[in-house]
Amino acid sequence: MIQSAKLGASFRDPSGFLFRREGVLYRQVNESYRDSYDQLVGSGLYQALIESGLLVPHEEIDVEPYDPGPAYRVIKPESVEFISYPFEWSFSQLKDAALATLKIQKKALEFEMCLKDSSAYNIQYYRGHPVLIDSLSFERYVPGEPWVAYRQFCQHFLAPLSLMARSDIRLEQLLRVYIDGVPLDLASKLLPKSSYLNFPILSHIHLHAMAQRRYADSAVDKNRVSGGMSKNAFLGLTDSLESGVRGLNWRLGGTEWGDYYDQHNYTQQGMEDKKKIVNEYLDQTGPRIVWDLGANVGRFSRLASDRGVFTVSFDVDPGAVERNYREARRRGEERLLPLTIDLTNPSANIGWHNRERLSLLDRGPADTVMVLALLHHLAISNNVPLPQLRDFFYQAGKWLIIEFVPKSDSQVRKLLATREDIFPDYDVTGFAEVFAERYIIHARKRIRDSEREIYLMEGKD
Amino acid sequence: MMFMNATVVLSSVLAAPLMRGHAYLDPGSGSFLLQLLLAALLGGLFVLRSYWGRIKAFITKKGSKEENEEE
Repeated sequence: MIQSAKLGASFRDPSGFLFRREGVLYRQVNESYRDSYDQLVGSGLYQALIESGLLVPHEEIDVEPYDPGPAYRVIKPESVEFISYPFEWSFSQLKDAALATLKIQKKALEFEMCLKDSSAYNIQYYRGHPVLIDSLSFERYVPGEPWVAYRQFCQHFLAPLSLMARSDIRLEQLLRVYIDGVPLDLASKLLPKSSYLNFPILSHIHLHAMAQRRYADSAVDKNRVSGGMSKNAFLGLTDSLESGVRGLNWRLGGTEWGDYYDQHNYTQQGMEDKKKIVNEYLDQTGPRIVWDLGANVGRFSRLASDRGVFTVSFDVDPGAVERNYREARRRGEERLLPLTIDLTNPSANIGWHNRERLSLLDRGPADTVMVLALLHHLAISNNVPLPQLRDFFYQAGKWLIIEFVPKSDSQVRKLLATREDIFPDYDVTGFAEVFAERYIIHARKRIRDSEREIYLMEGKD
Repeated sequence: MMFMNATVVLSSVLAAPLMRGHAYLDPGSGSFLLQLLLAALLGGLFVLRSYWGRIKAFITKKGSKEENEEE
């Protein structure tokens, strides 16, 4: 019996759904979507989007549908290595995803189609670029009709971007709570008064929120408004949203592109030595997927991604992730994905039935996990005992490249300066003993000119 | 004020639920009507902008042609 499972995030749109069979991801296209699907492919829109790198390619495939009743056909999309969510993206990642969505909308209009949804979750980072992963997001453009996904675009993109740029970068985290995007009345309330002077924000957020409130209990007779929105108006709306998104910027504090690394704890040789050790360990583990936890701006992540290994570069600091992404974009890096994650509270299973958006660990495991200059922050600043840390890393991936930072290190001394030392077991012996319970320790190397050591460990089965 | 006028213009279209071909999202009455309200303005701006683009292209083309002729 072949096991198939429908994906928990794929249920809202009756046009089709995703399912996994023997580890392969497929999308069933339903009969009800036949005309639109045929138009997508037949009109040349599909090809145009693939050539512009805006849609994830798929192939039509002859396999048994998951649900043969309503099925029209089955397609197999190219797989995205790591599914990430908007609340994990940096400001520019969300902005680029918004611009990609509008570009797709404009391209679709050239082929007399338009987007029937504009969910930020339909965009994924694929080979370094934001692409649409849902081939069923298109429908025939009907002249005169307004854009059905306009509200969704404002909630998923314009509202969080405006809040991040004009109020506080951390307000992106509202997307974790509001799974269908930030409610516009809330965005309107949280934005500063000065944002009323920005025409796109004024019209698409403030007036939009007012209109929603005013017509909350009204139903619209579509037939009577048919023809109300010309194609120029449709294009004008798209243009206005685009200029709104383009106009939003987040200026990073401090000296931009300055070295973001705290180098006080390594000499120049020490830093080179650390790179050498990590490179050696990467050679030994030969991973396909690396998770670099606490990656900062991704200097060590690049040791993996530059050798073609797909690397997710996590950090808690939105500024570091933003710098990391901008650098990846500038260098055209296809194998690096910077993301914002707070390891003390990593992304959980959320949405309907707790199955729509997966937790960090449910999107793993990685082959190799890197934990460099991070352990002391989790163990001492966040009071996580070493066995719990070990168990988390163990679940995250098979191999572990981990740096132990002893109490005598100035960074740890700083962390302990203002608090009582309640960590009698935090030393290199205790660390090795605790980790050896679930790992085989293959190597340990001291970083030159420092008291820090990097371990290579392999999880026991 | 703007919305008082909008009410007069748009109240005539409020009646039955919205139905579309493949649409599974509810566009929301307010969002739907706001688009209609913005339509004239944004459509006009879009036309103006594309004309302006054409005029600019015409001038630039003419300019570069003249330059070429001078060579």
